[in-house]
Amino acid sequence: MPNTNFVNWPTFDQIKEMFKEHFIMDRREDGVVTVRMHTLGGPLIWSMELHDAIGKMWRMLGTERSTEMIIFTGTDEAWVTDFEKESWIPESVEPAATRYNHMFIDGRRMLIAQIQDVEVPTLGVLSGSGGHTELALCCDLAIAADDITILDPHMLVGNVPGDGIHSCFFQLMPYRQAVWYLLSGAKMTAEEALKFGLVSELVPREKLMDRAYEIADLLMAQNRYTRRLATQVMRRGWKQRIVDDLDMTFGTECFGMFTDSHEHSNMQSMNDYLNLKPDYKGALDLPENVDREAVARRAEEAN
Amino acid sequence: MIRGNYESDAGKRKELSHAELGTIPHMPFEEYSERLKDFLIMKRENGILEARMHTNGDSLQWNAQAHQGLHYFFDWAGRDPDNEVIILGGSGPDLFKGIGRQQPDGTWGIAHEFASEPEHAWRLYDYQYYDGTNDIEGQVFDVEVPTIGVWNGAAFHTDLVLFSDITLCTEDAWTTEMHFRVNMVPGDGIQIAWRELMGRKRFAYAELTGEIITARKALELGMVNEICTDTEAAYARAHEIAELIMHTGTRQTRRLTVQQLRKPWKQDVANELRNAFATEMWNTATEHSPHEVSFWEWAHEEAELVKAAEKKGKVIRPRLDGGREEDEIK
Repeated sequence: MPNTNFVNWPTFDQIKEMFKEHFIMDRREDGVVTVRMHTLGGPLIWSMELHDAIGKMWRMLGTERSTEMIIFTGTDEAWVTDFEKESWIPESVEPAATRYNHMFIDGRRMLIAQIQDVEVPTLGVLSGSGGHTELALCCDLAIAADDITILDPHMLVGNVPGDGIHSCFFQLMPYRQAVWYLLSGAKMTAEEALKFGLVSELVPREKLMDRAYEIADLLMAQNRYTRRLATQVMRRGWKQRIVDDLDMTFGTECFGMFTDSHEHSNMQSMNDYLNLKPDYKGALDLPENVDREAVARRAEEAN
Repeated sequence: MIRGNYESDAGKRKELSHAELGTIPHMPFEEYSERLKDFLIMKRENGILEARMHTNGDSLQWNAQAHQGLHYFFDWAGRDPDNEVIILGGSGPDLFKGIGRQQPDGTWGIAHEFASEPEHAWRLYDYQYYDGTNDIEGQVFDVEVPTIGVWNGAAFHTDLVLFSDITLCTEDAWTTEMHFRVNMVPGDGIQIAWRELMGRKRFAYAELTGEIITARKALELGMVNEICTDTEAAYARAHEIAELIMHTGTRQTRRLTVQQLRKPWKQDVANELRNAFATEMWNTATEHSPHEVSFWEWAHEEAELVKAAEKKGKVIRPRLDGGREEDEIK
């Protein structure tokens, strides 16, 4: 045998274990992996920890060699509609460092990894209503449940929409519509999302994942090289888009946040606006005795 | 032979009577030169407007007066139909004296409009981002006529003389890209000018090390078109070139030609300026970069050494402990 051994990238099972608090992952025999966002098994509560994990997940899973396709989806009828107050405490304790390390870096890495580092086709399955829909919509393919509502809440909470949702909307929608939804925070129905080209089809909720796997079957029927090279052809537009306006636009959002601070801990829930009552399994509100310094330190130590 | 082959059409433009049409005359030279006189000395002859930045007749003290007034200048003078060529440069020994404002008692005061502490964060928008973006956009979008920059002596904010169609400098001219050296991100348009004129690699080096760019280097790199012996010679040469332009193309040709020349600038400015400037502001806010005059004094010290070394064919490389004359490895 040769002198040395290959250094192995973490296996699918190791990646699945690493990310289990944020994503439930399943792998088909043929390498189609489904990644489902969750919080303690229930609908997603937006946290700093998840925000950081998403970019890492795309990077780790996207280059894992036995993964041939990634389906990305959420849990129940909420996509991202609420914030875990305790998780976002570091932003109030150390705003400058947190916003650079965990917003500017993590926020950009999330999208850059999805576009640059995933070698295989991605299918976003928009299973719920709310914000941060770019997580599904920046996939190569995207479908949605026919009962969801899409919105971007940035302007509603006084922030510049510069975290990649702008890139997503500009890339997919006619410009007029993109600007309207970004500036107004208005709600978009599933039919409008289809009409404007955010998704290529709407599917009844109970048939959503079946349809996702049908699409996966279609892609997996092709040979590996064709599938992967065709994916790069499809990605080119996204690569150009995020190079064009992600980095410094995020800087604009951070400038805005600095001059008029809107901390995630204080951001209101979108659930009333959307008429949703998610069956959360995780906590949203600040517990009785919060050790703010400890929470901030934990974020600093996160690698 | 290339010389002024045709007659200048200065003063010959046609215009229908405002009184008859009810149109509104553009703000005249007499009015805007008066409004801006505290930091710009202007004179006009044969359609050629010369504007010299100054503070009390001497090198400009950089603060909101000029930072804000300049975009008014680009708007009012840039669109004045009676201007055919605009020359913009400095007074005294240097283009700029430094950032700050001389107090009535003669002491040098801080330009606190550039403060960035949280309680003053609103100033970042109004006095840096707003005025700064409009300064760059003004130069590139608002000026309808050919422009010539005159760079005399020491300068920062060199965009003001580099975005012009033609740039002349004095033999003792020099600059350093200040941003990174005072812990700031170069996002205010300076990065567009320098990158375009000297190339990416040279700009990255100049920005990250604070390399002193002398007149000779600027000429070699393509940042300036000619070196002149001194300030008056530079202005005289600017006027001569302006007259050459006037004796070559007609009014419409001149004005349309410069729009073509400006197109790549417009593309870069539209593509980058606003977001890069905002990012610079965010970074300034969190890093509390000093807008102080001391950096400029240290830069002067280094510039003198660099110029002296240049005369001997040697270089002073940017180093942790600077100021050493070395041979250049070619």
